[in-house]
Amino acid sequence: MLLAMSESLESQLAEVFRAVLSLESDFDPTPLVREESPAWDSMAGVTLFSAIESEFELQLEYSDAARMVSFAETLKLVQEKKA
Amino acid sequence: MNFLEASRLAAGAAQAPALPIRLAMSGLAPQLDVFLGAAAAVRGRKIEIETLPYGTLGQFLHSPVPDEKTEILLLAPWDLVPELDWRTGFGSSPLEADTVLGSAQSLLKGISNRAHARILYMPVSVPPNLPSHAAGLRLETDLADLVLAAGGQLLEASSFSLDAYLQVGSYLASSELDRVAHRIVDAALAPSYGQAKVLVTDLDNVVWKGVVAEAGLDGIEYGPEGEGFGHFLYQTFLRSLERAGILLCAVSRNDPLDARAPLESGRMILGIENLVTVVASYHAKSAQIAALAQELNLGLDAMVFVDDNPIELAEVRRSLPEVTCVHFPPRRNDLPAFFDRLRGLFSREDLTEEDRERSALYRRRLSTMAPVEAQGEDLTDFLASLGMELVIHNRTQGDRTRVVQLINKTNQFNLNGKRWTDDEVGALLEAGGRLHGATLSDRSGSHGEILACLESPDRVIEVLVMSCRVFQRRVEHAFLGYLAELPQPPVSLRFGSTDRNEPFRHFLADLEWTPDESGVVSFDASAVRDRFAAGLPLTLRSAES
Repeated sequence: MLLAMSESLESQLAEVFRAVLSLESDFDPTPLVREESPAWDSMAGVTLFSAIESEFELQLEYSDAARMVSFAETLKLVQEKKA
Repeated sequence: MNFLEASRLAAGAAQAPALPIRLAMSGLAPQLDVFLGAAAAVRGRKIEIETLPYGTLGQFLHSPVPDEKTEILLLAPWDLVPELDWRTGFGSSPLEADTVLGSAQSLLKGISNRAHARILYMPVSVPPNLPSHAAGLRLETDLADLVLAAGGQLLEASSFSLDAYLQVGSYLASSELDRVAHRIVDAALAPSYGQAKVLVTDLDNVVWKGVVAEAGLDGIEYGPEGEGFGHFLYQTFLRSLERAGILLCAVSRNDPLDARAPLESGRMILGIENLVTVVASYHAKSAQIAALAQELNLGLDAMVFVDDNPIELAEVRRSLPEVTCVHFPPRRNDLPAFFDRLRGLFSREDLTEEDRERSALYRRRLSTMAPVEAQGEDLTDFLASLGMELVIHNRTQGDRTRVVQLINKTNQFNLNGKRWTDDEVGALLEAGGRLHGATLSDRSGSHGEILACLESPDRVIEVLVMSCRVFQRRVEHAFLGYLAELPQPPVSLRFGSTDRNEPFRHFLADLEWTPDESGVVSFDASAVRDRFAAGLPLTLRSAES
């Protein structure tokens, strides 16, 4: 059950990444790292932050934004906040 | 509505007629465009946004006025008085309120002189940059007054997030983007402020608290106390609009006698004599409003529709995008912004004798208006965005109190109107019957137990009732689909016509199921499976699985 919830969170977050970074619908964003992704610029970072708050009904702090350096770290952040 | 749902809705409107707007605000608004796209999509339009670059509000006022494009200015106090910007900190000397109000007034005058400009203002707390706390409060009020005087509307103060503004320069709270986007699209589609002429209001849970067809005249609340207080205020507000020459009409999904009874009772501050007409039927509200506009010989853009039910509002928005739709707030704390908004839409200063007589004139004209029968818009995609989950509970064993209560208090969506005692239900179950209940939840929370169905041992549905709170969500179709998939589906339903179960008669007619002479209707499981196996806008699961 917990595994299923985690998979669903990951696929939901992947869809948010694809929408915000204008990625193709079959693109796998899970290996993305901010510093290596031209589409993930500072404006996209702000949009991601806000989209994640809206999608997962969370309230993030400034320090959380600094943790969003990769898809994997962002997923970890969302999982912690949802826990 | 969440981000991904908004993205999907916006993408689905790619072929819809364009709604071009020019949006000016002094901050970032990441993903507001997505929510604007969704808000336009539910009104059958595709948004086309031109966003002004950051910090160019002053230049905007000197730019040419576009011919067709509505200009929306989303303003905060620091757009009117730059010294009140939280991001710039506190000045070395206190502000002089009179001086800054003068410059704010000039700026607003410049905006209101533009033909297609609409102002939406966030009346948020300003930094304590004035000589005293009282002076700060006065300035906040004075700024909001100036905005209203310039024809602007106030947004809810909760739309502002100081945290987001300080963090990323976006002063809109993520949780409020959906609501703000709807206000922007409403403003873009609405007539100029003060130009609306007709207020069309829903009745149940708007003019009064409760559902009159279920609770009866004595079970609804409308007085200046308790649950009815907000509705009492609304009634007094409607009376003030009527005195100002605004035409008031009511549209209700109800039996006409039920709908009129409270208005004719003489108990409420709003009476039938204050309304031009009351249109009550179980047909689409959009069709009723369109017919009203025709009878009154007024454009749809002169009409404002107030309802508490987001599904009714979506249906009218989708079908009649020119009508301004306003949500009657579920929380009383949101009533001030609600009244402000209506006041802005209807504000008039030049009241004539003819205005005062207008209601009587139109009442005579509409006395012969024929009932309208028409289906509403297909809302499948909007309903899907609500994230509804229907959970079926087997209540054959265990506590059935709430289900029995539902059976005995539901009048409208009721198979035959028969009342059952708990003992009678128990006896049928002991003999081999089945009792189903269902709960519904969506993004806004749980609606609780909303459906009950009792089958006899020989699989005849003796009871099928559903709460009127969840009409139009296709819950009844999903439930039939569930029954059809059971290893032993029902074989028939025992229908009986009552004075109040017209919604159930419509349901059967829609399914093309006809009762025989004794009221028995065959349950065609394979037809139900074919029709409702897929495509319903909700998730269904059994509590046992």
